Amino acid sequence: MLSLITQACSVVFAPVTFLYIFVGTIVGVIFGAMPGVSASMAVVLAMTFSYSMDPLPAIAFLVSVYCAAITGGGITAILFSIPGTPSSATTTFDGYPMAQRGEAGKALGISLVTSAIGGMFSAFCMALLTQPLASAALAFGPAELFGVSFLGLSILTCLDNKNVLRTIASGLIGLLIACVGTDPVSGVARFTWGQPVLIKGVALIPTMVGLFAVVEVFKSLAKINKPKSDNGMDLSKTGKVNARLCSLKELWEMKVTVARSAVIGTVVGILPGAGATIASFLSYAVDVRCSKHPETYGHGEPLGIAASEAANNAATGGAMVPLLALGIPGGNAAAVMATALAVKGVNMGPLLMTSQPIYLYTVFVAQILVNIIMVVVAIYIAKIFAKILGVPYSMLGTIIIMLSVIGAFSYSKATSDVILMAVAAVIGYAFIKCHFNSAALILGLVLGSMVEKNLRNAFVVGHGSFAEAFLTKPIAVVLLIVCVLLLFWPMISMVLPKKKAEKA
Amino acid sequence: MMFELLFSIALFLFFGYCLFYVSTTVTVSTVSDPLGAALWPQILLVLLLIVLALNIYHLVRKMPGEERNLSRVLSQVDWGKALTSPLFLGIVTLLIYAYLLNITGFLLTSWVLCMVYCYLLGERRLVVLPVFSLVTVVVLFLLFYKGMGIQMPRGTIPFLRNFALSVESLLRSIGK
Repeated sequence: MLSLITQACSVVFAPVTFLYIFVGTIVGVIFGAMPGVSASMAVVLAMTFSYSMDPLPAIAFLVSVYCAAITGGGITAILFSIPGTPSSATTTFDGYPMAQRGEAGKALGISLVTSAIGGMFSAFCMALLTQPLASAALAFGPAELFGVSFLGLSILTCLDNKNVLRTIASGLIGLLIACVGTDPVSGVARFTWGQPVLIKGVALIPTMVGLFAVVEVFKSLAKINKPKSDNGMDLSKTGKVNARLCSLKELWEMKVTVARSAVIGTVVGILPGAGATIASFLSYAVDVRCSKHPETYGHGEPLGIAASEAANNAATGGAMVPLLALGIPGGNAAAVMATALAVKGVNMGPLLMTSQPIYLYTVFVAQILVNIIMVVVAIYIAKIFAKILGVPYSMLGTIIIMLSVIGAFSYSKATSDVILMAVAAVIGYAFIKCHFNSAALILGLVLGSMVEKNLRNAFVVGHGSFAEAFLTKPIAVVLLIVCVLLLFWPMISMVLPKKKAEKA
Repeated sequence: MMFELLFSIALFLFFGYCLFYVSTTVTVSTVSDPLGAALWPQILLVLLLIVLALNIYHLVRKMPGEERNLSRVLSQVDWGKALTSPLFLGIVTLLIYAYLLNITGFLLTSWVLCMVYCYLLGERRLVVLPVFSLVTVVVLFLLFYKGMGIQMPRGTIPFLRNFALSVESLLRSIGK
């Protein structure tokens, strides 16, 4: 193994490959930070440049774009509440409130460092566990995958403890919106009302942009006639942003969250069809559940950023495992990478791993290198993005609206997505006014398709019997029990102290 | 609180209709798909209607007596002020913009949108409004069109479409 790593180092540190990785990291962070450009879209855009490269530098370049794009998504999520990539949606929950209270630099620092740790952890896991983990992932059938996606939904009851009913309703609305369009199993059109534009379903990016970014401008518009001090952002606090890396002491305080999120991200990344978005939501959910102060999440809790960013970057390494070991892309970006290499006559899979293991170790070394370069590069890019915060809010709000419009449009080059974004923003504002929960709606929308598809497939496998579909699968049973416990934890935790008090 | 109640009732009625719609339009399950396409949304809708009904019940119980009179609450709203508020105008402008984007194209429509939003958000300098809006639209257009090859909507009205095409050809010639 050591000789293979040495060989991979000689490939990655060759001047041309190193330059590709460096450029790929810069491009990835910028693409990732741009609203509407997802990590897989960044890899697609970068793929054009990889055609002229040899296979090994090409995969190193594409991996660098992929990892950096996931990290870049956190920059605009923190500064403008616009998730650059869907996997950064959970970063907005705590990153933007921190930016609003003048701690954007700290939030960015936490985001970058925890991203790098998550990415490096998953790179080591990839190198050490590729083959055994890939086999384990294959053992995950629809029932287990339903359990995993349902686990992500268990966050619902603790997103807003004061409005549990409305938060559950918001999550259910999100799950329902995910049903719009062609159904994932039989291809039947649902809730389309005869409109062809609804056949493809409700796109995630425009909805997120509307709910998180445009709503912030609406909130500022609503405050226009109110006293000056309450009008929009506090520019004295947000005008200057000095992204700084978190200290070792701060990092040590986050050790449990970062370690747990890195593990969750890697494992979810390995599962086919899951990916960075589900990893970040699941990790955030678990972190809120495990916290002694869950009420601080969503109001600028640094651990919330760490949970989200460590997990989504760890998923990048996880996603490479099935691709390298079995030739099965774990997500869209991995599929693009596999295509780019297939064009060069390199087909990923078990045969490649046994005949040319150098591919695995080149990806490993490249990922480690990217995660180091990325921190430095992203700090400078974040500073450039942060300068925009220094302008008056009349201009900043307008820029946010324009970026949101372009972000929504670029997703599928359709103006219907801009309409969707505008409608989502209006609904998002009504949600805020009526104490419903936009984050719960997004959670439902993200997980909806996966939950339904795996539930139905589990019943197909179980010949329509619940017992055969779930009860014969120990992993699925354990996951479902955990889900139910987590979902009803607020009620259980209310009853337990009473019982204890009665005994005392 | 009355607005919250009305919103919850509107959601309840809409999703009640959705339950009827999905039950009547989506086919039943088959042997190859035991649950079928309709069951999952039906489960969600029934749960949602229960949760919304509980929410409406809680809201009505918490609402003070004098607030329960809808006509009285509505008569207290200053409609003139509400319909000319920056928030209402901003929402309407964005919805109109989203609808017109495909017809009138990105460049002109976005310029107008920028000016309106900049004004609504407090900018009152008459020179800054059009200049800032123009610079913003052009810079973003350049960034996404030239930098990332994303073609923005050109519009369907002939002269606006020709205008967009001439701007794009100008940019292409600069690129060469």
